Amino acid sequence: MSEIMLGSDDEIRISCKGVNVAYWDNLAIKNVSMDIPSKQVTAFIGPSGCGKSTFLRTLNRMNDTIDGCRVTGEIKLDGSDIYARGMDTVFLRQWVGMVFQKPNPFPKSIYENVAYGPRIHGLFHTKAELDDIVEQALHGAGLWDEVKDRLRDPGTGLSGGQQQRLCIARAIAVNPEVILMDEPASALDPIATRKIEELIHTLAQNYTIVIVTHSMAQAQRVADKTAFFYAVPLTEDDDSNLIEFGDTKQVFESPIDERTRQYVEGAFG
Amino acid sequence: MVQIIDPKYKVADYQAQVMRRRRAKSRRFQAMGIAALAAAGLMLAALLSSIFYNGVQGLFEERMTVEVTFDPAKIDPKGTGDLAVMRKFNFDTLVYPVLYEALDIKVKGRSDRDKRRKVKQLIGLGASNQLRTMIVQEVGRDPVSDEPVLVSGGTQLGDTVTVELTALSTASNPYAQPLRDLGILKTRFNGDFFTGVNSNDPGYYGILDALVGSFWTLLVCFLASFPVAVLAAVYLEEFAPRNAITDFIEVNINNLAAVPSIVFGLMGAFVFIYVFGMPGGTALVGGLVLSLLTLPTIIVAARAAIRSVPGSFREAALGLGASRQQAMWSFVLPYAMPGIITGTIIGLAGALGETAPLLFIGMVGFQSGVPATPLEGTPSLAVGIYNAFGSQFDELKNQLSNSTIIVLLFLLMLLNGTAAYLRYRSEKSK
Repeated sequence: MSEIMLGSDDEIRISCKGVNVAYWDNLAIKNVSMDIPSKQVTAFIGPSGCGKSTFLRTLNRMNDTIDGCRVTGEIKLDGSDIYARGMDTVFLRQWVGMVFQKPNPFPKSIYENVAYGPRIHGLFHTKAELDDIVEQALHGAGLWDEVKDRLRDPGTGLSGGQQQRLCIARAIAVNPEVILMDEPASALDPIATRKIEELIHTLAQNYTIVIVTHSMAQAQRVADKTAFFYAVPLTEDDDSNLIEFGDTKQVFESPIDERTRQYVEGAFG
Repeated sequence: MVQIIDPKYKVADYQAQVMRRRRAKSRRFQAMGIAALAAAGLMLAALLSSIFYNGVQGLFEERMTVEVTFDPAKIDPKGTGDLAVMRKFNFDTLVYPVLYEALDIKVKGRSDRDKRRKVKQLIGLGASNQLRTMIVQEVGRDPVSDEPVLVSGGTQLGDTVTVELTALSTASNPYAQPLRDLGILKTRFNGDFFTGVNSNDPGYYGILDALVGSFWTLLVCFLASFPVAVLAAVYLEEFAPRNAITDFIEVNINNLAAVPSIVFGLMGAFVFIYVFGMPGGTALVGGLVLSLLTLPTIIVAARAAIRSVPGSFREAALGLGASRQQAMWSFVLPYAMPGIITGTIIGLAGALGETAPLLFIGMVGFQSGVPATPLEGTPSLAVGIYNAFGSQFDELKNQLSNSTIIVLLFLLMLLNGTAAYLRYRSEKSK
């Protein structure tokens, strides 16, 4: 779609042009071009199988680990092509962190969960610095007050919502610019979900956040921008599976495309 | 009784019939299962009771306590005082008259000849040697003449000493019971069994060399197979591309597990001893040969354990910017370790019981002595079962063989119990 409306004051963090993703011979993402604004929340919505999670995972090259996955087109983070030859995924994933659908803390202590990223990237010199990073990250994820007395307890002993916030703390501990969230609240109860959503709001002051969600209500609550993806079958006539992208309010209240209108009104999905 | 189904409906009759048949079928199936279990249990019970009946007897032994006079007229009739002369004497003959006297058997004459023969059979094979060392001992060989250097054993000719000698075939000998009644034959715990080494005299036979040999063998086997197997499993599971070559390797790992162990023995004898010139009959070669047997077991177990690690850990680590190696070392391997250890223990338990390949490479236990390093010739415990039995049937040897089996079974249970405990603990923590 050419109607990608970003206000002139939006600073662009990730710029995608003509991105295609294929698994062996099956095209999962076709010709997606969009600009993801800095320090805002961008939501990807769409019916199951529309490729929104696949597209999210191309943004930090998590698809690299999947056999037969091929990405073409151009994705630039702050102007540098992340699929360029010589781009180190280790550095890329330090800049672009990820939170997964199911909370997946490591089978280690709360402290070690958060400390793992800084450790592998060598972000500290002394134990005191690491302690500080861990505390800041836990503060940032709104978890510090709940766990400060039991940092040595296993991370897997926390509740589902706390585990997910631990995963967010783990992601921000390496000081990323972008945080990708793949349906971060879909495995949580409403109260935990609310906390995560509030956290996303707070985090957006410092980080660029891209979130995939199944819940249109959630997209409306947390997102500044919303992108609507529509699924296969991808034929010659469908020029892209990104149907519409714009301010959340506009996408939900006055969608331009007929399919977007039907989806946000709950006609299918 | 309340009629639930109206009998006028024929379909109800039919249904009831079907239900009856179905229940009968499931009862029959259960009965077959119980019968199969009972049969297996019975066989196990028969095996174990035979082993324990004989084996426990082997842990106790009868010793003969006699007062022996070292008669100079017999040992050194010419009074030369030469130790070499005394050494040639058959010291068993000192014991005979003592027993004859106790049993009221004539020392000479035709009438009691058969009785005397029976009594002689009671004396252990090592008795003569035991008495000889009291008089004369060999401490080495003269470098010039190559004659043995002899020293006095401390006991003087003419002394009368109470000695405890090994006894043979006490269960079937008719004179054993009278000697027991006289207090000459006494049952005691067979301490030699745990402190002695392989010996032709069942009275002195012990398994210490076999125990230590098995320990060295398993140590070598573990050191040789564990790192290789874990690295192979990690590579195949985490890094190797899926293609014809890796499929071929996978099939052949399973083939390796199916190769009869004696084939590895032959191969080991050729490769390790003949080609590489390693010392034959040692725990080093034995361990290397057995590592070929445990390798596929550990690889298969390790791969299963690695596969069972939730993909979410790997994903989370990669998402933080860890490399695949870092994700593997930090999360995949530690999480899979209980499973890998369990597989390793089961593999080592299998190796502990292997006999055929070890006989092939010469771990036959002809060496007397406890091996201080894996580079010394030694039997293993499983070979010890064979050694204890010896080449011809003897009830004491049979008992010792079974005693060795008890020790081996105990160790196996210990190993498998450890494996089961580790599995239980890791499942509880997940």
